[in-house]
Amino acid sequence: MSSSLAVSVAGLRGSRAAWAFGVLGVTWVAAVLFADGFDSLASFRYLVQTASFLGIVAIGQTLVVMMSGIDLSVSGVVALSAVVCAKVASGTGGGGASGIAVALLLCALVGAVNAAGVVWLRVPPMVMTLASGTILAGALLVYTDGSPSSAQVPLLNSLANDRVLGIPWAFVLWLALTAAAFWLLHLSRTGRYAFALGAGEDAARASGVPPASTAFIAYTACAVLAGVAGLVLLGFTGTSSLTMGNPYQLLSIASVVLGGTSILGGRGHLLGTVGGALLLTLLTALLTSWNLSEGVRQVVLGLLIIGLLLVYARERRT
Amino acid sequence: MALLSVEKVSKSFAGNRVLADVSFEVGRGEVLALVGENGAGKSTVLSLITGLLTPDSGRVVFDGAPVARAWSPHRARAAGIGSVHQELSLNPHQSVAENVFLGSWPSRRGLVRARDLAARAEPLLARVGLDVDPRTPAGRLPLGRQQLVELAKALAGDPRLLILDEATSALDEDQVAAVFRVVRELREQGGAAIFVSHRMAELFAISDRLTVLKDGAVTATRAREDTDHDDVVRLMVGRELSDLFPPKAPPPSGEDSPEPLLRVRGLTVPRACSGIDLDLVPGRITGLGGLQGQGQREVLRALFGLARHAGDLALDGRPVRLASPRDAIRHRIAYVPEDRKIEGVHTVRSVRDNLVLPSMRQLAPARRLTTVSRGEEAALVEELIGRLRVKAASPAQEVRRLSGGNQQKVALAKWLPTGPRVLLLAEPTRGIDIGTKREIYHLLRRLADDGLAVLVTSGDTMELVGLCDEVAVLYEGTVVDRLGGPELTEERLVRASVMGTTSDADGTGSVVRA
Repeated sequence: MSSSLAVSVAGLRGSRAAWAFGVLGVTWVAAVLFADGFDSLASFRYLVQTASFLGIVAIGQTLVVMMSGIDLSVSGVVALSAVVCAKVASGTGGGGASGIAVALLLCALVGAVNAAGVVWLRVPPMVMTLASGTILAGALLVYTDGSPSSAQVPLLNSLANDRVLGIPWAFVLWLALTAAAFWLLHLSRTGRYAFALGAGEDAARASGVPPASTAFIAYTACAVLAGVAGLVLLGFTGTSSLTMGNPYQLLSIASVVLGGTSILGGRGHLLGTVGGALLLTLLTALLTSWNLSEGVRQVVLGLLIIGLLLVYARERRT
Repeated sequence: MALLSVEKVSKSFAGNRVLADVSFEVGRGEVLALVGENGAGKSTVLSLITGLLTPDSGRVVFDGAPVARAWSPHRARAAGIGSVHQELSLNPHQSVAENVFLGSWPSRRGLVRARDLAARAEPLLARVGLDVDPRTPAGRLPLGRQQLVELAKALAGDPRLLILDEATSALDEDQVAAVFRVVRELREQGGAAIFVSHRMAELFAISDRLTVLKDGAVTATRAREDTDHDDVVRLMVGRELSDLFPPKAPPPSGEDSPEPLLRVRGLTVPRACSGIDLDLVPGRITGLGGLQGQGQREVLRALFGLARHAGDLALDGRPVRLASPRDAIRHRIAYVPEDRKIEGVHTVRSVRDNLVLPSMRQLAPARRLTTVSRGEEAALVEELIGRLRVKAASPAQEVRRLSGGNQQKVALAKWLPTGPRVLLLAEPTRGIDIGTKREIYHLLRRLADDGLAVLVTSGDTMELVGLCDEVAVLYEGTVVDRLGGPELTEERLVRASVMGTTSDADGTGSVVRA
């Protein structure tokens, strides 16, 4: 009796990801009923399109957080890929394929450096990625002389703005990347290793889990995904800037946590992060629609994140 | 009236009864020795006195007043109970003086002055025979001196009852003499002490009475004059074995002794053990005995690639290097660690995830792009749960919801699909109920019969004697005795562990390094 209760309780706790979608649904219905401009198909489309940018960064963040790491360099990586792609594309012309390739390669390199620092130099992930993000921001300032170029890359333009069967390509891309990350985290060997490392590094090592290769895969995937988000943003705005990645640093982590994943790693679900990213994008849009000033908006968003965390995503005491 | 009386206290952890109706008294001006094997309940009883735990039933009366439900270490200290344990509680980065007064720093208008602190610490340090600058960081002192700082810290609370729990285990003779001096002073002033040590000679040197605990119950309390070493050892050991242990392997017959699978020569782990020789033979269970912390744990960790080590290891006659757990696992060595919840299992993960983790290469092969086969996974989990009779509500249940015995079964079961040839187990039945202990003993014997070489460390003498074919006794990191066959008895094992010498028939004893 008590053991079957234990299982059902464990089952409830396991569905913290479902909470994210529950809160999302309630908020959305409320927005449609009570706020202006949320009842049209166009607004819905716009919402999932903008959520895609955050969502792509956040699935990468999920991979890293699950193995009890964290990536604070994603804001820098988003800017890196957009700025580099824009500069290369405006220099070479053409379809921008070379710009995209160079940008993503650089992002992968940043991810590998993050992993190397964490694994081999034993720098705590928070410090390592904060430092690499800071270095990136400075390097971009030097590289661009402070004035990043804008560029029209046709492929990225259509990826960010066009639709297929009425669905924005950006959203399709997000779903496709989510499917790939879902396989990596929940179906593959690497995912099992990531969960095991997050649940307890000592026990994971003593069971033969390879911490180094797992970290390299997670951090590199996270950086490449942040790079993809940067490219789509470049296509969306047509211009790159040094600060364009800044909102994504904390919002990507908030998406992961509001999606029910433990910030300490080892527990959670990738799909929860999708709900978290949609929820945060919707809340931001709602606050904007009330004509709150930028400052007030940030204060309210921060309070909402704390409130939601308290409701369903608190860390357990053990 | 006694200063402290423990009246019929009982305590259980997760249905596992560790203390049953334990009663004893400590009078003013008296030193009581609390004796018993590891796991007999000494630490639990002391934790009840110092307020770390509360009894399920019974009560503790200190100085005429029953201790309140809200008893706590802090209140115990304020009421006049000081304690020193084997495990250090010093902050290594703070000065000796800061540590001595930790939690009650004298301050002047909210400011703590290092000079005041040092000046007040000096007389206390002198009392425990420590000649150190009170401003030295505590972590810089050698272990024995840190232990004396702990004693000074206990004395800073001006205790009437001093509890010394294995507090002398890291001390040399002069330092032990200093501790005894403090205890005698306290006794003369009408205070009292409870003294716990594995060293028989110390117990008899300082105590007035001895209370012997066995399996959580008091077997006897004797005045020092009325007893001797042998009597106390007899009271500590000698339980009913019944069919707790499976029959042992037949002794190797004459010349054709089997080739060792894993041959260990001169294994040395810095600051833990040195020059260890072991032969692990298929079909046999080898034990590592000795008092707590004589290097047993590090031997196992070295053999699993978790501790840096020197020495020659050969598997099947070929030299091997074990630099990481992955090396060890590749050579089909498996390890069930002592701190089960840290290294053995992931408590927040499911039974299923724990059981399959070491088998990921087989379940998620490269030809399937490393996708885990759910079907094979479920079949494997079901087989293991059935084979070891793991009591879990479902494979999805989190391991932390299982009893200690079932957690241990998971920590052991997860290695079986990897086809281990050498099985290393540290304290395989610590904190486990007797029924599961029996199951684990029989399982280990079956595995040995199937051709595994098994190496077990245990602080439980009875377990080593009942389970193992041969036991190497460690003392301060070296093998001091090897017992097998009819020589393997609890009394000889305890004697070798306590005295650090072989138990020669003539009783003189000599240190042997094999």
